[in-house]
Amino acid sequence: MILYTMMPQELVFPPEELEQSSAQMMVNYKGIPVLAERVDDMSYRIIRVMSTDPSHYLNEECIPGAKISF
Amino acid sequence: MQMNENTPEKQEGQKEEKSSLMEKIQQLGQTNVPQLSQDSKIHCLTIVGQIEGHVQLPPHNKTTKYEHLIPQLVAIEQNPKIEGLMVILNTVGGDVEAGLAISEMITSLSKPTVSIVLGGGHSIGVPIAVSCDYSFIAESATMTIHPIRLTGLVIGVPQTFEYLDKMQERVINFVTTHSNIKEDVFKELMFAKGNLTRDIGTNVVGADAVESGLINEVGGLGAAMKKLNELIDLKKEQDEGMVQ
Repeated sequence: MILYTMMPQELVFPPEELEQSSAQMMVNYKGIPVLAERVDDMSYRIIRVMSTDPSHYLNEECIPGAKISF
Repeated sequence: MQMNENTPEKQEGQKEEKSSLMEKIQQLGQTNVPQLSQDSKIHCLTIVGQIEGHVQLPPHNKTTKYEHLIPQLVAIEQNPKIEGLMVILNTVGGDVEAGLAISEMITSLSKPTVSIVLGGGHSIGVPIAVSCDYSFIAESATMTIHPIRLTGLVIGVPQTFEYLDKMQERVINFVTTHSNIKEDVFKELMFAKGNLTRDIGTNVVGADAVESGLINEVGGLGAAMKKLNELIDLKKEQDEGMVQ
């Protein structure tokens, strides 16, 4: 892999590994693809709307930070 | 899809048939119908943060993943309701392979595409910005053009240099064939000294990018949307002309 970026290497890959694996995943919420993080067994918190359809971003139920459950 | 799943239930008892009908009415009334009228004919692809390719970056990086973008581009190409694509860039660069893959896909899209660089469209963001039919850059936005290199490492063998040079050539070729910039001008920007603190290269701001031929026009969202609508109308006219 070759990174072509203006970000310095140490910013992209920090020397000390302080990362915890976040449980982010792609889910489909009412037909809108979203990147969500698991909060507990039943619910997820939306991190990012991954759709290309601009109208999906106007859906108030489905905004970053909103809790969704299945 | 849910409607199809419900159809076998029809053959069962009348009660179930009624309830499934109710479900259908509710589904149509609540979700399907309003969505149809809301369908946008212009879709928007936002490319932000690092462009992530074969190797997953540490989670503190904000990334745009190619496994997300590529299926979206395929969906945009094959959906007849979508007439145009707006690509919005605010990226610091990223994986060469992923960036070029996305650029090639946008270029080969049969629908009109317009890109707009806001904030920054650095490094591998440059080929993506020029891959569209028409490109815009905000007046305050910048693009950093610099050589491809292994950061912080000493190049040990001549092959490494050859390899990096080849990778760089891919980016230069793509940019020069898809924009109005001349190869020597682009290379001049790439190897300029005294502009960047830790690297050679140039930081091109708004109007400079247009002047060098890299980007078509300085403008914001309104101008970009207007241009995209123009291109869509032009394509419609051409398509009609071909039928007659």
